[in-house]
Amino acid sequence: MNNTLLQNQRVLIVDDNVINQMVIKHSLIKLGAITDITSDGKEAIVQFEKKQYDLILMNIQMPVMDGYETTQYIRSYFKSEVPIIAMTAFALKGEDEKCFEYGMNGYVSKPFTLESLYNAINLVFNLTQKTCTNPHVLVGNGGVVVDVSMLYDIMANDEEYINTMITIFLDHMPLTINKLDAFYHQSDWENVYMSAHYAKSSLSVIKVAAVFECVFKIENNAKNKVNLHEIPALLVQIKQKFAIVENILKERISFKNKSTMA
Amino acid sequence: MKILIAEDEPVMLMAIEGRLKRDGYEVTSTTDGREALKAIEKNKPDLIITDILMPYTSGLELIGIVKSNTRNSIPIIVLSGLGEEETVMEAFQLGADDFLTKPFNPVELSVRVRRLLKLSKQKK
Repeated sequence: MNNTLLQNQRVLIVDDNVINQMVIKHSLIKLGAITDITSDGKEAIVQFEKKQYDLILMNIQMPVMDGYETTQYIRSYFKSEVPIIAMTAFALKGEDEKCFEYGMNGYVSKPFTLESLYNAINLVFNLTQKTCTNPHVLVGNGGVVVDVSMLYDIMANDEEYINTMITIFLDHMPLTINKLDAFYHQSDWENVYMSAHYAKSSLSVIKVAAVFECVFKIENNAKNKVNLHEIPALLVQIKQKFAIVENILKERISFKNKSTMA
Repeated sequence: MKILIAEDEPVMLMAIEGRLKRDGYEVTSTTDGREALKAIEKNKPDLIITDILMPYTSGLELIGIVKSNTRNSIPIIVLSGLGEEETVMEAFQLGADDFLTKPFNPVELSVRVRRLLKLSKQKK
């Protein structure tokens, strides 16, 4: 985690819960941000008109004006493209899609760790940067980001070695995901934990924050045998996102092959 | 200089192996603790890099076995996804010489390997 992610960035927090406000503020300060707090959508709009912001963290359910309405207002009235991250309750199905529909750039489910908040912000920043300066950070559908820059740190420009690594990753991840699924159905928590830990290892070389986050949660839940009911939904997310990762990486391999042949 | 790696996950293994080969070391890769112990006996590496959670013999057991054998003083670097305080403490108590967590920084790995090899050479 790079704790200068938000260095000197102005972030507006919109949340009606005082405790949440403090937790979020504290997390953001750890990442170097300068924060302002507002307690509902209306207040947020007034504040947004006064000052420029680099990022907004928006609760969804709030009195006076909810997160969806506030985002729509910011997009249509101010014509602003400021990155907005929704803070949603994970349990609510379809909430993530609704966030994108209303013009938000990303979401983080509550309760969140500093790490998951960091990943959500990182993801949104990579997405909203129109020209990504790092050619090894690949963006796919639904904002899935695949970062292969570590492969270049390791092997410089040995494209053959890098392609082999990507191929092994593409061969192994589906097997690991299937194992996770099977062990879950057997309620074999020790092996769910081990498989999640194994997947984390692959994902810390070929970095996919969106999948890593889910795997990390499964690892923790299985290890401590808590919130085991969350695991199926996390597995669904992993499968959906990994399908996008597969497309991105396969496309990249064929592109690189073509360019070396030319 | 010979380095032995014990890592059960192939993408991570290739990452460590690739970096070390590029640095000019002779690398032997193993994918579990049992295999690693056999290879250590056979190849007498100058340094070991090990994961913790592996099949058969875990990285912690591996450290215990290698370090309890007074005849060899092979330096060991742990490279693990487990960064909890108790795991790090246990690894060091068993005799690990260094501890890195995943995701690792390739440059840092190179530097730590070089440093440990230099230290162990001075001891000899």
